[in-house]
Amino acid sequence: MRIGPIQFITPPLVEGPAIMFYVPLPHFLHQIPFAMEYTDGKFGLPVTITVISTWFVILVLTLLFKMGTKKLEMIPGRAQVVAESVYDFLHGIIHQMLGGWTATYFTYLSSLFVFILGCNLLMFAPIPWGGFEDGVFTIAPAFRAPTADLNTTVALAMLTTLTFLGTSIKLNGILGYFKGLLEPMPFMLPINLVGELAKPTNISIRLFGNMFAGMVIMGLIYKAAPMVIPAPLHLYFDIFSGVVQSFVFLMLSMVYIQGSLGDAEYPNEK
Amino acid sequence: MAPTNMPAVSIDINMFWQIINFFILVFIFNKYFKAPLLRLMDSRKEKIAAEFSEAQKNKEEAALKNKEAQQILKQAKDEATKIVQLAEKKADERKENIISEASIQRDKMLKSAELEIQKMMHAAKKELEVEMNGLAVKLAEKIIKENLDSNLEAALADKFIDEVGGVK
Repeated sequence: MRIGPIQFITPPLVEGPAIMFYVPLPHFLHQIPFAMEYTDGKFGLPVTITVISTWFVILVLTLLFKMGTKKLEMIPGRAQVVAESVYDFLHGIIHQMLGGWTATYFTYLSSLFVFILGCNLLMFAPIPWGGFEDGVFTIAPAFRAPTADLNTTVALAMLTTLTFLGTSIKLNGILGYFKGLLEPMPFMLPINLVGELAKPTNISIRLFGNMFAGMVIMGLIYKAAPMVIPAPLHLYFDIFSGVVQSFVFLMLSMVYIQGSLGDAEYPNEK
Repeated sequence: MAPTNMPAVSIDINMFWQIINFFILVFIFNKYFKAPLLRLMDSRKEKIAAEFSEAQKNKEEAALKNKEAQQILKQAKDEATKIVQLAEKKADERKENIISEASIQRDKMLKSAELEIQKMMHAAKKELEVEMNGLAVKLAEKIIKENLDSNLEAALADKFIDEVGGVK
């Protein structure tokens, strides 16, 4: 949309994340052809809008953490009450699921939840970014929800997979894990393999699909009715869907970890 | 450099960045959120536990003091009853004393009264005797005067004198 010399850019629909800059590769990697190929032949690792958005989210979260834990006192102030409530909430839901194993997985699961929630809610408060081009001032959203990029969700799902696979192997041994795939009968192996593969696919594609679809729908509505209609829809697509999906991701991760714990003896709680 | 676009749905170098970003977030979460809060909660737990144990100790102490006070109260009560008993005993003794003294006095008084009565009786008897004697003498004189001449009545006089003598 254009008002005088100012151009507003709607959120991108199915355009991929734009590359912001390249991080130069160290010299010894130039000799490896695969690395050159992978970095677009420009001697650097591409950093896209997704990564920049993630950095922004991390920055905001860091500031919030700092604010919450700035002056820690026995009798808490306002910010500290909020921080402690968040901590208690996370501890509560994780403890409900994992019981005595809470201490082992608390940091991973909590940061997962906080990270996804921050990324999902990023688009609800869009930060505008302007720039001059051919005498026209363009205003566009500065960031793009990082979870609307398949790379983010797959990365997180892979970390979850590594976590529960690691737990399983740690508790049963590698042989025990592969023996577990033959349960209850050896011919069930393909189904068990599919089941194992389904877990990371499930959580990554679910989160990506929700956020990406929300973004595309919002973009289409912005194109069709730019002024009034899109605003309330942000409530659904960014806040409701975002919170629910981050919660679902956390819950499914916990379920998978719990499944891999199996009947293992619970460590004694303090 | 004009921004080039990556494909919308693809897995590429971004995944590597996102994993690194996530680990940065884990580090920040741990350092700036979890660790300080955990430290605070632990110290709060310790403080509450210390206060709780102190309260328990105070309670025990109070119970001990209460017991002591109860004992002292009991002792005081015992002493009081002892004192009361002693006082009662003393009072009894005194009562007995008083009573016995009174009875002795009464006996004395009775004795003295009896003695007086005896004395008075003696006196009265003596007086009566004296009077009787006088009367008898007078009567005798009279009778003698009248009946000296009449022998008939001499016997009567004798009888009379006998009778007066019998009174004594």
